[in-house]
Amino acid sequence: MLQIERISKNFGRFQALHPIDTCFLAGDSVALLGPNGSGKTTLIKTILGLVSPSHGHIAYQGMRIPANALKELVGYMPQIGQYPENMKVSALFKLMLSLRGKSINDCDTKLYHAFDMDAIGHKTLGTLSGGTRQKVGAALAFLFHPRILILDEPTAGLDPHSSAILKEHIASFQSNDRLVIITSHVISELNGLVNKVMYMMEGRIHFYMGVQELVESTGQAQLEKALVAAIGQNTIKERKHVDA
Amino acid sequence: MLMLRHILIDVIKNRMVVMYAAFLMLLTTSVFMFTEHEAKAMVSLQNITLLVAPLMALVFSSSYLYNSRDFMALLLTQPIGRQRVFWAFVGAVAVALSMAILVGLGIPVLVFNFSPTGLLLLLLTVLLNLVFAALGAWVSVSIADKARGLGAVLIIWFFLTLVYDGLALLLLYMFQEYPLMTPIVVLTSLNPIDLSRVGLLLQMDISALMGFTGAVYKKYFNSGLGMALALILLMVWAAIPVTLARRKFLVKDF
Repeated sequence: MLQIERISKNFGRFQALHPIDTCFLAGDSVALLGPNGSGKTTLIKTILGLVSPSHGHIAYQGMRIPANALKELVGYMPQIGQYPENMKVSALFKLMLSLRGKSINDCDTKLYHAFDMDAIGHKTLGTLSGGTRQKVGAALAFLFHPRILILDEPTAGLDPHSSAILKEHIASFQSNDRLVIITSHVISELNGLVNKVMYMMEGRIHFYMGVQELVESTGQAQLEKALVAAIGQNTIKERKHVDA
Repeated sequence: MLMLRHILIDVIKNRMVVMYAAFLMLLTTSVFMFTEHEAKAMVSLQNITLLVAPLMALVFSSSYLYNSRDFMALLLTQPIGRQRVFWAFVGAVAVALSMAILVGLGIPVLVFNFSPTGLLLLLLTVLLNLVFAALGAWVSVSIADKARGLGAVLIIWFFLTLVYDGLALLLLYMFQEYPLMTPIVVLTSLNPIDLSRVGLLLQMDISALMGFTGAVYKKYFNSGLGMALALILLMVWAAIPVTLARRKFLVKDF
């Protein structure tokens, strides 16, 4: 569904992404993991058009499409971020709707209503807690019936109840013509939400495999333990490769 | 336009902008109340606005744009052009700061000194404000780190308000044997603060307060031409940094 064709990115001398060649398939739900500075944010931002790659292209369904055409298809939930302090929640939604020329009736408002955005519509964004701002971001990400959903640390800052609601919505969003990419530091949060794991390190894809495969190859039933084992295995493999 | 309106509402409600307008109004009113001579009042007012307006425009425009980076990024993930996002933010900051000046400086001027000189002071302050808001925007787009950006902004202010004139004087002193008309005019044109100072003094026609630069400007041009030139140069001064900022913004990594 989404092809990453030899994308690389330099920030000055620092190479944030070494040429990456990979493919996100429709129907997949991918956990994008890796330590800080491993390039996962840069990769996501490249897909979102926030970062222009030094080399390479993003293709959708095998075709290079204009950036704005891709953005039409993407729903993005940022990490807890700053919004304009004095803007009302209702104004923010109005603004976002107007940018796409849509009315609220054309939109996917299930999460919007589940998080009861109407009730906080009169509040200004500056007065909201981090968790509530996260809810606003989540409701926005689902609003325009995206085909590709990109969630950056979606459950950080959410209370357990809201986190459960969000996960439920992510699960019901998944279908065989859609793609979900989630980054998270809390691996246990992703249990049951994802079917593939992409692990990045130092601007490269360390490994990219199905959760099932990961569990089988490491003999660890828990995703977290399987992951730790897989990171170890792959590092050893790479070392052998280098030695050879 | 809609995006600009929504952001403008946010900027206008910003505490710093409200306080700026209130501060200007208090200051202007008290200067008019306590200064008997009209020309003296205008000159004192200009001396204050020449310091305050650039500083406020630089600091506010850069810090607001720095603080909006997350929201800019979210808007940029929507299927709209980068250009639109840029103009919405820069336009909102420029309009809001100009409104603060029109309210804080404009209303007292209309009440106490409704004259061509008063209106010119207002126009020059708004223009100067646009120049420095544009410079602030350029800094915030060019320097990724907020603390360093705010440092740069303060250095720009310090340089253009204090250091520049000192250097210019030094230069003139060193070359006093030579004809200095043209260099003085050029040096003045290169600093927007000097430009707007000369602009007002030309209108007021008080050579005692004009200083060397004003006198030379006056001799070089008749009043009307000199002033038109000062206004045009100020606009050029605003256009250059905003163009540079726009170009950077279009390819910036968020």
